[in-house]
Amino acid sequence: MTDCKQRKIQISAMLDGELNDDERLELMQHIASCDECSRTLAAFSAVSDAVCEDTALPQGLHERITDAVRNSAPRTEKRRSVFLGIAALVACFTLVIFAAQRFAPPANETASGSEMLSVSKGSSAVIADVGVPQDTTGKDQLLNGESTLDISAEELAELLAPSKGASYEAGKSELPEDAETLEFSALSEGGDLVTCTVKLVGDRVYADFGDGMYLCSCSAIELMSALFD
Amino acid sequence: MTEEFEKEIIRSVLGGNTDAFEALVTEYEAGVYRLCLRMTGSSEDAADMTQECFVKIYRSLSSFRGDSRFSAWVYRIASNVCLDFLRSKSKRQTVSLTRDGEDDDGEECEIPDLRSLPEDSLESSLVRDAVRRGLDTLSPDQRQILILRELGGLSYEEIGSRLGLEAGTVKSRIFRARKRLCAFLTKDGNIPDFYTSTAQGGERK
Repeated sequence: MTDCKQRKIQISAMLDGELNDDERLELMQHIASCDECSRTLAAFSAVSDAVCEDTALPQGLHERITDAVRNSAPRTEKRRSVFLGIAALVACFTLVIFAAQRFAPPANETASGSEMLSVSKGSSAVIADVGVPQDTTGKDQLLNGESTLDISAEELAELLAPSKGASYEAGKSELPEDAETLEFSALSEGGDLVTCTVKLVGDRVYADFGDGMYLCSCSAIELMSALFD
Repeated sequence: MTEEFEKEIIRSVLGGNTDAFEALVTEYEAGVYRLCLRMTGSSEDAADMTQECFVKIYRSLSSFRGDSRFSAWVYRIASNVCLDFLRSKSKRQTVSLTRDGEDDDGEECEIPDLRSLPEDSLESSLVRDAVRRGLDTLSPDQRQILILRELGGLSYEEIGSRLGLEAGTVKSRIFRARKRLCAFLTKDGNIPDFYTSTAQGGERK
């Protein structure tokens, strides 16, 4: 019986995949000729099956979870300050700007080493290819063969400050489907990637750092001058 | 979801893309809910704990170092959230058959004979219901360790390193938890007599 007591512990471990091949073989040979251990194997298996049995997710739980997560996300001001924070670490680094309607490559043609990281937020917002550097040391390693611009993250963040009284989500109802969309990425030397989507409607600029579009204080002309002049 | 894609999602979330986190929710919500359900025994508590788990996972995502499997990290957080809940909630616990500790190895509990139990039978579903009720009789710590193994899929070593235990200790605690559940089946689980036998391996009635 003492021998079977130890065997039962081994049976439990075997069900958890913790025995090597030799141990498992030896144990199974014992079980084949031992009624008590055979019964233990069946009972422990039934216990495992019962604990692991599939259970349907309650209706609405997924939405509850995503809402709770969204409500706990940091405010956009904090997100903007990441740009400023990154700029504090790196005096000036290169941003890659993609004008989605001008430069967007076909979906299956991306430069080698690049990966899609942004997700389209609407039918007109084309997924812009966000270049991932070949290594993580480079402040100026963003690839893709697209235009690169020298502008500091701090300057960009200042430009995209919310206009007075701007509220998040307010921009959604004001944005036409075919608004020109720009995707910005800021990459720190540590490899942290922060993205921002900008939409241009006439002379108005809307920005989204991840939790809602808001009207910016700068005009489209000011933004374009800062980027291209 | 591949490990690589999972890492990309995590990087994207840490970069400020909250919406990307939904992919992780979709991937793990069923498993986390099942774990919470087994830990709490209540579908309402399980739903609350599942929500709390994901908020906690989201908030502490930057602390995931990548030196273990992400799934193991997720289930460990989930089990700890449930454990805290169980400890703080005043809950009437059925006294376990033996004192919870290291000294119950000497007591032999009756093991039900389920070798011929048809899988899709009524009796089989009675066994499953009984096991789930039996989980309630385990101490929260014992329940956590068993469920981390069964539902989280963590190895003994992974469980041990998270809980500060030797793998051998994890092995014996899981064994005792299973033994206790089996004992519950024979004493309180209303398992049909047909499927129980004496400790000496007596005949089925």
